[in-house]
Amino acid sequence: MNTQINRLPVPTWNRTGVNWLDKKALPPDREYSQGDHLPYDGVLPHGISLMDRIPEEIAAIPSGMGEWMDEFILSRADKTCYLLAEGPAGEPVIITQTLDLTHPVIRAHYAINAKPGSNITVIQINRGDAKDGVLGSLTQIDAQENSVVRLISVQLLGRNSQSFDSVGARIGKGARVELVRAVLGGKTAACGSLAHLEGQGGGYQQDTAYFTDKEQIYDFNDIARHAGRETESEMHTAGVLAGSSSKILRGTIDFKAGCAHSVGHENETVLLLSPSARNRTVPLILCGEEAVEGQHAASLGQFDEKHLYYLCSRGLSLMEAKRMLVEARFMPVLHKITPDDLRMEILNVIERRLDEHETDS
Amino acid sequence: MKDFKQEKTRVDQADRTIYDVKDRLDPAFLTDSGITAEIVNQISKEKNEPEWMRLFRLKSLNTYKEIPLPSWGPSLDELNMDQIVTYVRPKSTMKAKWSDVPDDIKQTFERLGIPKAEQKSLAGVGAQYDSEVVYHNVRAEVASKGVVYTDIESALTGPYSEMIRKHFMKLVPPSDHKFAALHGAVWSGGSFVYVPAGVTVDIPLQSYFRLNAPGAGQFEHTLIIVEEGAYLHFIEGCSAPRYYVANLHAGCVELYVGKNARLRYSTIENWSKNMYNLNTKRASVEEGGTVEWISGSFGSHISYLYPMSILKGKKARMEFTGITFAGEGQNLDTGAKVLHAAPDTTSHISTKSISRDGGNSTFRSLVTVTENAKGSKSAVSCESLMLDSISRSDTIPVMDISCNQADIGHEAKIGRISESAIFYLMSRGLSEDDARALIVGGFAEPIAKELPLEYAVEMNNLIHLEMKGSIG
Amino acid sequence: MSHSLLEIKDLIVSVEDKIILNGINLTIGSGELHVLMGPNGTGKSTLVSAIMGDPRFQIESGQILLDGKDITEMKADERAKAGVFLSFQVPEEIPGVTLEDFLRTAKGSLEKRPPKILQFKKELKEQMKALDMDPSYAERYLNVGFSGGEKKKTEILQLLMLQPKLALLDETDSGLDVDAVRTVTKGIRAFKNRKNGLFIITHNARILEGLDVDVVHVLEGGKIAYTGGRELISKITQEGFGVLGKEALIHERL
Repeated sequence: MNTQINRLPVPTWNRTGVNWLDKKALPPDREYSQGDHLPYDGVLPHGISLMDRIPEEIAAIPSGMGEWMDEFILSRADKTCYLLAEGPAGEPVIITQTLDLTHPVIRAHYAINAKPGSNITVIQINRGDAKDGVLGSLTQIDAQENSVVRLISVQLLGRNSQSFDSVGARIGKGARVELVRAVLGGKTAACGSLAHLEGQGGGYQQDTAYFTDKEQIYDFNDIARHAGRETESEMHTAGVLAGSSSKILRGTIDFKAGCAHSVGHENETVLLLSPSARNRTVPLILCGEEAVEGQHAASLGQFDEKHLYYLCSRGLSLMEAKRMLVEARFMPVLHKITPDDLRMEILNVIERRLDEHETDS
Repeated sequence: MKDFKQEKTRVDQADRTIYDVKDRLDPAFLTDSGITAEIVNQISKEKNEPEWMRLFRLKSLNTYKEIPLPSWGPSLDELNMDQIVTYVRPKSTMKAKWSDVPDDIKQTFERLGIPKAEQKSLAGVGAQYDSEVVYHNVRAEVASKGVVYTDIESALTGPYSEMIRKHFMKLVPPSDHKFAALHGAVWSGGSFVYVPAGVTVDIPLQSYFRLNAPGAGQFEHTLIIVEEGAYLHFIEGCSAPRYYVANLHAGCVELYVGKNARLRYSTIENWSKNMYNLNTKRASVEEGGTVEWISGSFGSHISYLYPMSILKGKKARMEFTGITFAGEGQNLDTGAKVLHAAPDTTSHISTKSISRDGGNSTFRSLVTVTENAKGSKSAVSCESLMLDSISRSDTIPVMDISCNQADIGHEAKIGRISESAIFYLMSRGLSEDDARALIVGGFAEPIAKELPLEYAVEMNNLIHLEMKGSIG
Repeated sequence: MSHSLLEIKDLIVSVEDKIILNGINLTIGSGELHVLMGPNGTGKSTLVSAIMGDPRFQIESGQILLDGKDITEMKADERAKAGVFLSFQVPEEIPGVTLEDFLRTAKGSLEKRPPKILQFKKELKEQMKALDMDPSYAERYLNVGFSGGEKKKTEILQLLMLQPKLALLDETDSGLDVDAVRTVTKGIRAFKNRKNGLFIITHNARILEGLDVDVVHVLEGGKIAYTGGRELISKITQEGFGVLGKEALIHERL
């Protein structure tokens, strides 16, 4: 398979291995079926309806993982869900994909057509497991003038499966897109997002939290592309690495000429729990416009000893203090996740895995 | 800061007169353009060097042919290697007195202020003209401490020949990248410095590289060994007049910093704007040692420059302070690399870049922390200033961390001159141009203050020169 | 006669191999309020940090007893469970942990069972009100973006919620405006009873207004140089520490 998924927008030294997704995390090289394009058949909340077909201009919105993945899902989707939002905020759309023996491969294609002034929240939950399982999803978002789109993606796959989650968003004048991701499962997990801030005053907020352990390989490619004037992006990622897992985060703020008075902020905090874990962080700022403000900050390391001492001085045991600090990293994401039982499930997974890590080491 | 009042007259182009004076081309020997085994053998023969070096060159040439051009970084499409003259020997052998250097070459260095600086503030000077060193001298009191400062060619056959053989292109092997291989094949000139254990060289040594011949390449090699507990400040300056054909600079700098030793390496690079500056610099630092890089990049058409520090001993340290100023027609890709390979090592990278008039500056870095570098700390901070919207400024850092007991921080910022700061200065009576120049100077100040006074002044002049072209 | 709540015997403390405290002896009885003063950099913070069990400080020799029980070897959380509380001079900012969640977890740890939610919330609300704190702070991340005064009030809030036996206050009044100091003092008054003890580091006496000070210690050169009653405070705040040196010398000669 000759594919470059999650390409760094501007390449750097090849020996760093960050220019694209590692071979080990590519989808298995085998024959894939054509896909049935089965439309979503669940109940939709008030104000949201299903489109029969995806409008061409939405199908053309590029995603963060790149052309290969767009094509892989677009042309061979097993399931589709093309949402049309026309009204004000209502109940979230919750869609769960579950891998199992009979469905070891699921390619899900989502579109969100957010009409001017509309407000929609979509929650995607990916779970289950299968030998050589593959769960790929592509979400194409067209956030039109003054609309608000919130996409929450929770990945809880088992350790035999690979996850590919790609998002592309076109953000119109005054529109706002929020992407919230909790990435916990899978043998490998690749996520990509490309937010194209096209209209004046558009906003993009991305919050990601992940926890890797054992042999997991995680790979992110997140891009905020500022084209419109006075656009804003905030990208925050927090993660924990245990075992001999490895992770690459490429985070790019791209200021195109003409995006005057735009602001982009990006930050990452990484907690390395194990000496055999490997973290690579590649935060790009690309700039072709004078009147912008771009900032990136990253801090990578271990538990802050002073934090641990402060918490312990109030009576928490070392383990409790560590758990609290790990959960704290997930808080910005957890705060945005509903329903409550899903949030609790994520918290339990984190606690269990931290306990496992502490017993192993 | 300079007195801005004198600068009222507008100039369209930055005045580079002192750098741009071309000498009449009058070499004693030059090779054909292009790179072949024949040319490499010819260079080796001209230099009367040991057989191992000739074989090393030929091996490097093969490596050069095998390695492709980099798949990242500024485009090198317009660099036609077949047109580069790799070896231009000036009509003079190396002298130890300026009065012995031929008049026209001497005048060039006098215009650049080298002999004057030598008298005032340097412990020793080497001056290279095209492919060979034409002048080398070190103060007697420094030499008497056992400090060696000479050209590499003499060192190759003299008492230090074994030391050279042991260290030459060991830090930067020819297989590292295409232009390191090219360097291995056609290198010529450069300096060898040896500072014995415990010796402190109080005032800096300087090498100045001048490329006069059009369409030529300069491939000097700098090898510095600072033994245990010793200290050295080495300054490297470079310039060339502007031609309409591409010139190539593919130098190589190898620095060996011993236990508890400290080496400060300063560069003010001011190549002309037809230069491809594909330079490789690397330091290895033993236990408790420190390498400090000060790097100012002003010239060149295209630059690839990322000094690397290998912190191989416990508590080894590196500091990198750099500034890059990219103007019209320039694509300067600069930054730093550091490898933390031992416990308790620290690195501190701080860079500033300025882009204007369609110039393109890229900050590129790599911080690698290996599993056994426990207790290591790294802090990277880069700030970019965009002076207009036809320029570009990109930041491409990589952090590769495999140690859970390390503390790694990174900060990047991009922005423009704050309008309120300009307003504030104008409200105190400064013109807008002066206000901008003052703010840009202030932006570069943290770098300037790391340089010896004369060089800080030169850098400020350069910035001011560059700024004048951009205002209006 | 009160029994001794805190007893420190011949305590020697170092940081990075440098001796900071060189033989401290001190006893605080239950129901007592002691004040610790001394010039900058003499190790006042080191002393309270060592009592709390800050891992940055090495106890070279000596003993710290709480209620007669040796806590010298204990970790910070065990000391907290034994009843020690430190109001930090510079409280840590911890993003992602809300003040309320943190206090609930801490209280649960100290009391060995999670507090009843409603009762806890009610108590928290009351205590915050008493300290003039905006109730929305309960939902904010611990000390993140708090002003200096808010951080110190949050420390006193924790003191009131966790009800330790021994409270160590490390310059809780520094950098606060007059109103904030008054609120903090009110909190301390509410905390104090006949069973617990207070050990307060302060540079000025404002925080002590309306509090009964039992003993004042002056730390100098890594030792308790002088111990006396409340009258020492006004002497020091008016005339500086120099005056004590002379007196101490005279005292010794006699």
